[in-house]
Amino acid sequence: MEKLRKDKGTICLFILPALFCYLMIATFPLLCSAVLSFADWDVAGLNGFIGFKNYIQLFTTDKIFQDAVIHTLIATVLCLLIQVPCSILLAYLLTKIRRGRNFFKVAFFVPNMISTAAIGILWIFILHPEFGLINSILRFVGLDSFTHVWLGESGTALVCVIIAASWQYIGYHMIIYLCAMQNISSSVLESAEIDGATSWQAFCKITFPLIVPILKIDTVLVATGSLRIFDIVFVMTGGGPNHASEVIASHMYTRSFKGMQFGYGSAMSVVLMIMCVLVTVILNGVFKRSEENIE
Amino acid sequence: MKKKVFTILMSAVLAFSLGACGSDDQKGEEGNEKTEAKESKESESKPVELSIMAWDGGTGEATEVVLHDIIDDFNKEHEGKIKVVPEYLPSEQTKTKLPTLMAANNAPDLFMSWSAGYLEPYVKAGKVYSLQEALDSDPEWKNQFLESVMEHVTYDGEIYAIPTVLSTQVAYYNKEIYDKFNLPIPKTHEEFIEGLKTIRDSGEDIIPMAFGNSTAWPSASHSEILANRIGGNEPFDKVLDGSGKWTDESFVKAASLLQEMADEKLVPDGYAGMTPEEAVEQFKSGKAASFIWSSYCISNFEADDSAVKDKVVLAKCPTVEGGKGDENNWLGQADRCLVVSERCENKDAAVEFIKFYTQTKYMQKMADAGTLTTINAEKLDLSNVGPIASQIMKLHSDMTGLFVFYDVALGSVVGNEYNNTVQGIMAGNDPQEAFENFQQFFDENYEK
Repeated sequence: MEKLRKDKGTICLFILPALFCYLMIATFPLLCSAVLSFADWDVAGLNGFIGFKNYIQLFTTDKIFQDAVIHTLIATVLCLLIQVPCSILLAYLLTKIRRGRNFFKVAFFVPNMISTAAIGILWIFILHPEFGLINSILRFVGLDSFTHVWLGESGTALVCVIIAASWQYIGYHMIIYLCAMQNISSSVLESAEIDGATSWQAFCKITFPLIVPILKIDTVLVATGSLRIFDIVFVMTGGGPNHASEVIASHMYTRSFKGMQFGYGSAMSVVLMIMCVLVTVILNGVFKRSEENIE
Repeated sequence: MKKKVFTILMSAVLAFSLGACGSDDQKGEEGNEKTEAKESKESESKPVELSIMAWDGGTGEATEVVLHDIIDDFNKEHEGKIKVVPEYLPSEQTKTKLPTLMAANNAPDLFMSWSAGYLEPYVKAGKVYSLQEALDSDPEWKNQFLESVMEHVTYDGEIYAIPTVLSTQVAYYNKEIYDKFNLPIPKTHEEFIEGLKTIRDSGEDIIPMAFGNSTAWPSASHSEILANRIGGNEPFDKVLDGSGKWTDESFVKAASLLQEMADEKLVPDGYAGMTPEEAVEQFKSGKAASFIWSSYCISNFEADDSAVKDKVVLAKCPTVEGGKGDENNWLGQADRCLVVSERCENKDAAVEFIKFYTQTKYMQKMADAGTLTTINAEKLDLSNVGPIASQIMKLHSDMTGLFVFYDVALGSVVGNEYNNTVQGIMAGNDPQEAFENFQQFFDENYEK
């Protein structure tokens, strides 16, 4: 048995079925999509390959796509700024409270168990201009001038969608950080307490550095997740009004499945994939450097 | 010992996987036997199977209920000869499913579609079977349809689809409110606006015009009526053949008239975040004085829970003073068009189904429920039709033309952008500049 485990041939043989499935489901469509991005493929089928024309059109004439790229980047940055600190804070507070920890854990996690479509509709009602929760509260306290048509104005639509998406995922990331924090040996924290560290100091000097490896993974998760943001945009605004909340994925969907420009849509998906890889690489670089600094 | 364990494990895995394969095969064989048995039972000559992708959103609309009856009746009557196998799905889903199936050359034998620009790419790509021959060989069948409607499914002189339902944009007025303020039912846009302002200034909690624009096309469809009333059909036709521009006065002015309506607060506050369904609700609950909208919601207003059941007056969409357009030119579209795929193997059977579908019997059922059909009204008995639906059927009698929604005519990408352009203008963008941008988008993306 030991011998077999060491034999590379056997290892390969056992990995093969899983690898094959993975390649067929993940890598093969990815490659197809990359190949199609060089093609003119519409409802009539494949009309031949056109080189980089799809990409040139994306970056020169398609203003909606260029706006969508900016919106996607804004969404990514905002998601990082909202989700990561909020989920760390919530996780930290959960480690501190004694009663009802499980209740709050579940309460914050619940949005993850609801489908995104339901969450989108929930937020549509919260943001509804006439009877929505937010405008009702604003009117109740006399701040009528602060009421907005949240999803109908180009200035607020994107931010509202991002807040809804963040609300959904904070619980999920909170669980990740909570696990990380609970894994920190209590003796370390206790000795810090004995040494007279305030809880703020203990958090900054002990808890936070010890969860950095998890932070690194989670940041990449948040970033790539929000780069691909689609479902909640689709449900809440459909990319509108007048493309104000259009992100790459929603534009890709419109062009591929409503406009039947599959090749053009594939080009967008390739750009999106490259963006995801780039962001991951950049974030990893940033963390490596800061880890070195800490050491 | 270890080796032994490994061998046993391996053989267990092998046996299991073989077992799995085996049971699969068995299932397959059983399935085959079953279908064979069925076929031989049903008749000696195997029935022809026709797949159809039919719209059913589960809303209980009359057309959807009748659709099920039609397919059941057809299968009963043609038992042993033709069997229609329906796949029901909401019309919105067709928009993603059909293109995918088409591109993979895997379309169903029959499907439901929109008219004009939606079907055009499929016709051009040779994916759709021309029904011209079938229609020509049965003049009685051909002549029962409204001619202005068939124009929308005619490409290069040949008819490629049979529309069954018609929807037009019409003006709804709440008579109670209009009488209360002594307002006449407006003929022109200017009169309409004056009336709405009176209602707005009355201080009562009445929405002058029901409206919800979160999806952009409500504003677009209204602007299309206004543009047609201002410049007639010509500007749009010219834009399509490349000799005209979107910066034509009629488009720009139409959009700025809408902008004015929003600025003057003649539409509900927060209209930009409300859905069209909410707008229907505003009028249905009696809170709104007027509504320019599709005829499809007539059945909503005639329903038992409607507060405006006996208070609705329908009128042709108002004209614009000094405009070239005619009030008898309607904005609308033929819907639920039955189309036969080119790859369908039994086209005769498919045509037979379409003929069965478009029988007066079923069209009458739809009309009784308030649906506008594509059949000449003379062929129908209007005595059972509801009070609001009969109004529109009468208004339709002087229809001289039917022009189609721009997003249907332009195809979805360019059409969607038109909708967005008008939505943006209504929210405050400069009309001239917005249409200049749209012209640029049109030049880059519209393929004739």
